[in-house]
Amino acid sequence: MTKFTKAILLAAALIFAPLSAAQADNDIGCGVGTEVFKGQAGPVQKILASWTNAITFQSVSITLGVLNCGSLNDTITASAQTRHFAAANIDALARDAAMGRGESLDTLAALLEIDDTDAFGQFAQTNYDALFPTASVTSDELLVSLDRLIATDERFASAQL
Amino acid sequence: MGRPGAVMRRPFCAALLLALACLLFPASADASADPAPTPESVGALARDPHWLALLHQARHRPSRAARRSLTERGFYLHPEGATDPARELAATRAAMTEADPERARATRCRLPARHAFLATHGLVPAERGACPEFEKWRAAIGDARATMVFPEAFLGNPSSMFGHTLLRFDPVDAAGGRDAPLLGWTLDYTADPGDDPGPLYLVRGLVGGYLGRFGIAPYYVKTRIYSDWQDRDIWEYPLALSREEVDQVLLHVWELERVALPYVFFTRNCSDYLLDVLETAWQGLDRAGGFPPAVTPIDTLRAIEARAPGSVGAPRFRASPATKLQAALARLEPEEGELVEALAAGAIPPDDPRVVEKPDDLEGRILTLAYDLTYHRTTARNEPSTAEKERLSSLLRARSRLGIAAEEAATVEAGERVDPLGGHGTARVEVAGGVDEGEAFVEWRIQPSFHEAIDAPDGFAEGGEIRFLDTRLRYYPEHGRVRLQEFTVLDVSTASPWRPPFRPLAWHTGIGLQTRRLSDDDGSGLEPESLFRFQGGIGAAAAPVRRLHLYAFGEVVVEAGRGLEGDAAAGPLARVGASWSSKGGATTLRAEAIAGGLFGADASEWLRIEIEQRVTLTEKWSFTVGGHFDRAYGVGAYEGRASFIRYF
Repeated sequence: MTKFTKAILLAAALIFAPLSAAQADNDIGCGVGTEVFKGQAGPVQKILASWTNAITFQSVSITLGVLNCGSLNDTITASAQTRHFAAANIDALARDAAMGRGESLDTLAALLEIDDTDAFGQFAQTNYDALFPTASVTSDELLVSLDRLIATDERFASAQL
Repeated sequence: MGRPGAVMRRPFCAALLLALACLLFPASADASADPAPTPESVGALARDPHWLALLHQARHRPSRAARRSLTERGFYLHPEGATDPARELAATRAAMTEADPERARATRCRLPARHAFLATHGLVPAERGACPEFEKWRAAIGDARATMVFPEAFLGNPSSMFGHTLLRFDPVDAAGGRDAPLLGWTLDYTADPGDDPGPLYLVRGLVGGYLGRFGIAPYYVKTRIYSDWQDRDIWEYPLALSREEVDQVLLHVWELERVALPYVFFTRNCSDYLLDVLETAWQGLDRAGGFPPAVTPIDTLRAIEARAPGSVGAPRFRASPATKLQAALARLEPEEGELVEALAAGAIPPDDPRVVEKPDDLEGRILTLAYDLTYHRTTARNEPSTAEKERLSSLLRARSRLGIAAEEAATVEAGERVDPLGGHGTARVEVAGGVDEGEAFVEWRIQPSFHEAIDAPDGFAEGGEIRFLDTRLRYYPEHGRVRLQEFTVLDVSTASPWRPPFRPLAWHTGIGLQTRRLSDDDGSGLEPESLFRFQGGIGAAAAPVRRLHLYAFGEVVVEAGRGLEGDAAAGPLARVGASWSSKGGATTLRAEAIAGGLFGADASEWLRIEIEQRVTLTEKWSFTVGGHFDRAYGVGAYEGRASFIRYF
């Protein structure tokens, strides 16, 4: 092998060195009740991964239809889409609730058919401690608390959890 | 037999015959009553741009690998459907109307866009039948608008260095009429490299070694990936598709479910395949004149924009967490910034007096920023420690107790940023003239992609540079010689400026053929010699003043060529430079210096100094002038050059 060829191969190996291919496993998972602040390495990653490689379009129907995983908690009446959204966005929801406004909170309001997003934001901030009592609240727990608190506030009488 | 004109002398008979003919053969001129397609009309239909679009044969012919894949997966019903649209049309029609009603219905449900097309032209009955899976899927999306989503270049991953495009369908009634982009359904095409290691992944991606699939995911998942995880700013361009046109696109999207197509990085990539999808509603989407041959995501947007004024609307800018953090931190006084850092590090608690004594809105901003900074450092990419989780939780709790809503200006505006569509064309052709060691030359240059430091920076990643297949041919009139002056296969540089608390690593890598003036065999003069060169390294960049970009790199260089003593040399070097652009990019000035060593058969120094200026003449034309002095292998050479650049 000539020096020239060696140089080319060395260079080829070097030029391709700074790579990071985003790999994701395909675990569509039932773990929708994801913990807040769990980070990318945890179950949130798996949820994201399940969508990154969304191989079949049925995955749309799966979310919107029935998350056939055996209900974690019989008191959860939220639709599968709401549960999935809450799971994938739990961190952002915590932040928006503390801030009193935000896009994720507005989107959750839309899913719950609540029109007054300002009031909902204020409500979430006022009730922050009840909604996020610990540093490891799960999204399903959040929805249960929300369901309970909204029922007592007549501003959200029309909400559909 | 009979004498000519016999019939004509009997006009009454002729009229009688005609009347009889009309009675016996009722006219089928009324097409709406009985649209019996003739062979000619079916043939014409097979060449209809809409039909070709549905077969993904409108913009280019599928490659052999694509044809094989599409036929195997049943996208083409006829074995020759990949190259014969007429046969495919006949086969589709036959399958949709075949004797077995279940199989016919299954085909109609699997290919609803084709069914709609054939039904419109009377080739199949309009009734599709019950398609529960398709209808459930279609109802889940509902009435929608379309948006083209463009995450900016991500130079940490070569396959993302030109950006990415996704097509988002926004349900009109997702939020009672309000905007809820996070609930949009996003279609994109991606290749799955599996477990292939880096170099193999890149090579296979360049030559079509992977099959990619179309996928649909909620937009809130995509923002987690591109925005939160990869820190990419996103531009969301609304497309002027009508509801009916969106419906047409969605009918076709369903047909793509099982499809796998070869991914070829520069030509058949995410944006190219999305153009094929849009073509089913908007026929005639062309790249500008077919040049450049590569299709980068920006080119896709340009092709759609070129279709008609207003096809692509003004974009909405979605700032990444890093961008938001930088903007928010820049607005703080130094003392406030220190408090943020201390909170983020856990050195002080949220109820520290120095924090609490601040006015509520400032206290709120400090707590928010401390949270965002901690989150960005910990949770955004990894799993945080228990202590970090507690810190995040306590910061939010403290923030919530303030009881005031975050300011509206929490959203970061694009500001001075120009969206990618406003940038210069990504391909260029250049004509230059100059003097090279006393010899005059004329030079032609062609570069299919993408962006250089000397170009107007608007619309491109700050400090980033990508040159692909950069080719220069130089002609010396005095000697009548033509030579390949440069052929750079790929040269990529990312040099994002340091903006505390972010100190991104800059890196550069480049490989190709270059030319140096070296001593000729009898030592009497300097002759241009071709050399293979690899150069790469790491560094840092800064932007102390707006539109001024400074960088410094530590690199290694490897050169090889017959003109060198010992055929090869390598060595370390330091490279520093600066570039400044005027507002709006009307002119750019650039200077660079290299100092290093080259070790081969002998040891020598490498010193280079280069300056250049570019002036924008029009949207598509620029003028540059510059010169350099280069000393290596014991000899020094100078060059001065002026050129006109035409961008495409």
